[in-house]
Amino acid sequence: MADHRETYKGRQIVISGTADKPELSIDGKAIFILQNSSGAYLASGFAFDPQPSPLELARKIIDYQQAGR
Amino acid sequence: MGTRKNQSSLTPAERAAFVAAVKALKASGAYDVFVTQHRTAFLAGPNDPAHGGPAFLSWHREYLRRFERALEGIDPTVSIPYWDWTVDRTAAASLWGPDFMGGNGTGADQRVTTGPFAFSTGEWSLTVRDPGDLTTFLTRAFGSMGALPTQQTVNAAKAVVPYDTAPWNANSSNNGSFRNRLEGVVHNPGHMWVGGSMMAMSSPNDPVFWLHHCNIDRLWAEWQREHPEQSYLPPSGTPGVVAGHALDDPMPPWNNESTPPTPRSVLDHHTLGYTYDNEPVSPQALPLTIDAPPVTASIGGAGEVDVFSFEVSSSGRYMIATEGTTDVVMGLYGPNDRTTLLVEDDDSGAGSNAQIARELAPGTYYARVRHYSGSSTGDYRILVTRADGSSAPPTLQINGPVVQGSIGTVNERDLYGFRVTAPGTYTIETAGNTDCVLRLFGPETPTNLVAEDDDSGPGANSRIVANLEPGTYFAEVQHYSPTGTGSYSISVRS
Repeated sequence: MADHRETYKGRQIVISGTADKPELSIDGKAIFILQNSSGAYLASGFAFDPQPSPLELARKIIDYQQAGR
Repeated sequence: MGTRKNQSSLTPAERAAFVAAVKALKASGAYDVFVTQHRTAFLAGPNDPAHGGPAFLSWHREYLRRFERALEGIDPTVSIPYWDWTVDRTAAASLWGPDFMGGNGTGADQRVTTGPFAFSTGEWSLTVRDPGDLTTFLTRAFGSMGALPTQQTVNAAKAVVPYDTAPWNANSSNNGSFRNRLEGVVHNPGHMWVGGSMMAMSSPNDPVFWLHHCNIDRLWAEWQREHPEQSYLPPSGTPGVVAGHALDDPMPPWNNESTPPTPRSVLDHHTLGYTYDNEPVSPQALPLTIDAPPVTASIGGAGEVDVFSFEVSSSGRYMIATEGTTDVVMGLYGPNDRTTLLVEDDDSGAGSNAQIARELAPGTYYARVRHYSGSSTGDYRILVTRADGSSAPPTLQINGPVVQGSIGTVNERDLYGFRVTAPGTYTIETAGNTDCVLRLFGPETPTNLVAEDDDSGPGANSRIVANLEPGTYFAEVQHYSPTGTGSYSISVRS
């Protein structure tokens, strides 16, 4: 799987790894993610708003970080 | 039985006691064991035994009760309070006061700097954290991600039946799974509204976790009461259900205990030893008479609890027992308080009947009877008997010596027996300065009233003159005033 890179609200999201085991980083910092029993993605520090894909999860995390300042 | 109260109704002393017990658990290391259990559940991913499936509610009910028992080990008066976010919706709520949970996070790092759980107290550093998280202080960011549930949201969730539905995870329909709607639409937003530490797998690091989940547990209990025909789903063996989530599955991380908890074992929260302060008052108690024949009753609906009362007028050993083929469980409460549990029994009687024998002081006692299975119904009988040698009341000799008696406590009823061998007219009367009421029962049974008298004797004394056939009769003496006491004498003459 080719890496997916995008800039979201000024932050750099990178999805790498494999389809079975994707890896996420934001601004170069790796973020631990895992899938729950319905296949949705959770992240370290972000367990209660599961998202259908690592990319959507990354955007939610950035939304939170910007809203919380 | 502990009562879980709305946190907004706690007294300053109750708030302080809860905080002190939580901090004592933190200091001992016990608190962080609880945080680890919660994080470990999430880290199991597709095998999470606690979230995203039917056992979300049962797992957290067990988890909270274990935490509450740990608190009780520090201070037996402490119960977990609940946070009703449909009412307490802002940072100004007393919940976030400096004597309780402390306030919102501040600054770029969202650090909580006020209250007992501020890092600066030196007593609240986060040692169990999500992978890669280095933050050792509590963080919050109220309202950054969405809103708290409203009463309308709660009501809509509580209207959903059945309990759960395939595929038994976060993809279960919000209109066909009460569990998923409560978890996803009511519970998750509570975590997200608080923000910061509460969004993590290690979210019990924020003590408000317990108050939030206590309210979720309360709403489940209300749903159970409002939908008595709905049982826990699915049964064990159902395909596609994550281990720990079906009715009789042992729930990790407690699955290696000798009697591991299952969803079934936590369905009736009263059996776990707590109630909520807004539960409806108990049903009217049905009075039982000591030594009377058994009373027929029925668990007519799933989860029904029948309440009986009986009056103990003199100290002694009493036996409360059920009869029949229904497997009932009985709790004995009192004296004079229907919430103080004395003892509970399942199968000490014949077959699967309940039987309790116990020394009881004078007072009113309550027996609560339910079916062993929260989903079953059936008929049974219940009776109370005096179980010691003094079951037979003291005997009066006809034309014998006058017997001295005393009303030692208010509402005391003294019972005497006498044996009539020849038909005739008999006079039963009291003497002395105490205003007694006299009742005559019989023949043979102390429940068949023959006559009653207050003041037919000299002064305020009682006198009954009756034509009696042969048999055993009973004379009962009580003070005229419900608050009166005093001594008297009693006699029977032919």
